Amino acid sequence: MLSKTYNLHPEDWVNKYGEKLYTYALLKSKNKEQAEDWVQETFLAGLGAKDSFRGDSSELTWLYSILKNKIAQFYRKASTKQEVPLNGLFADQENDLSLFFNEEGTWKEHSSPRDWQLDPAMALENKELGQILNHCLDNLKPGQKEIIVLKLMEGLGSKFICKDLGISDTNYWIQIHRAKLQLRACIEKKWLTKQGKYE
Amino acid sequence: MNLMVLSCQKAGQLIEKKQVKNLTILEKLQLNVHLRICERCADYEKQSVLIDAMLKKHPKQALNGQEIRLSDEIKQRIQKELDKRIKK
Ligand SMILES: [Zn+2]
Repeated sequence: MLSKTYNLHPEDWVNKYGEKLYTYALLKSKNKEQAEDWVQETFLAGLGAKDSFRGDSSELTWLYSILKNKIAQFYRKASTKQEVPLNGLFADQENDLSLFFNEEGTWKEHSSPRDWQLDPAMALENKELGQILNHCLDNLKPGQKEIIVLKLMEGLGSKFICKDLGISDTNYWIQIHRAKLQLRACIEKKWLTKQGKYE
Repeated sequence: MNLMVLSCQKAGQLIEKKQVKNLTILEKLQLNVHLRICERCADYEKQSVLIDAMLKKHPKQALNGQEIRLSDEIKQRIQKELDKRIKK
């Protein structure tokens, strides 16, 4: 049997994956130093476990699983601290949907999207809108914020994200849709109120 | 059932799916037909795309205003630790 060599390049890890792992770590801890330490430990552990890499996932996904284990371990040990809970969040969502749609799946009048009267290019630079987005993200249910943020991180893959959030990946975008519905409703209300256009 | 008739709820799901993976030809058709006749879903799509663009542009907004870049100092620290062990 041929022994295969799998391509791991630990010397490039920090530059290639540092930011991505760090963003994920920050979702799990609000403490910056803690997140930095997790990233460092992940790389060192990855190096130590180099030989166990089988090439059945990408280098990045493999490092993510190591990071995930580190974080789980941390919260198990520090039983006084609570891990940001991510599982079992999607239980009561039938109710969520009925806020927005009637039985035929058509928008309900009072909660259907309205024109934000924004030029998209200008909107990207608008500080007020940015603050509103920030506020509304924080008001989402646990897990909903994560799914929106994780989706934007390239290279993670829907399989990994769904496993991480404890949802089936066949309806990954359905979960994103649900989170987005909440988020856009919150932004719309705050934004139009600010413009004096919300009745 | 008319294959071309899509509910707003389903249209919204397809709008999100489209940003993650390819729609089937039928789904594309259904969505395009729906978006042409439903202003509210067209607005939803604009808003959804805008939200993603904002988060991509200012990702730290998504993380409690925390700087999401690893500082060069920390990067160097980690690289040094890593190099020490690679050379061994
Ligand atoms: Zn519609």
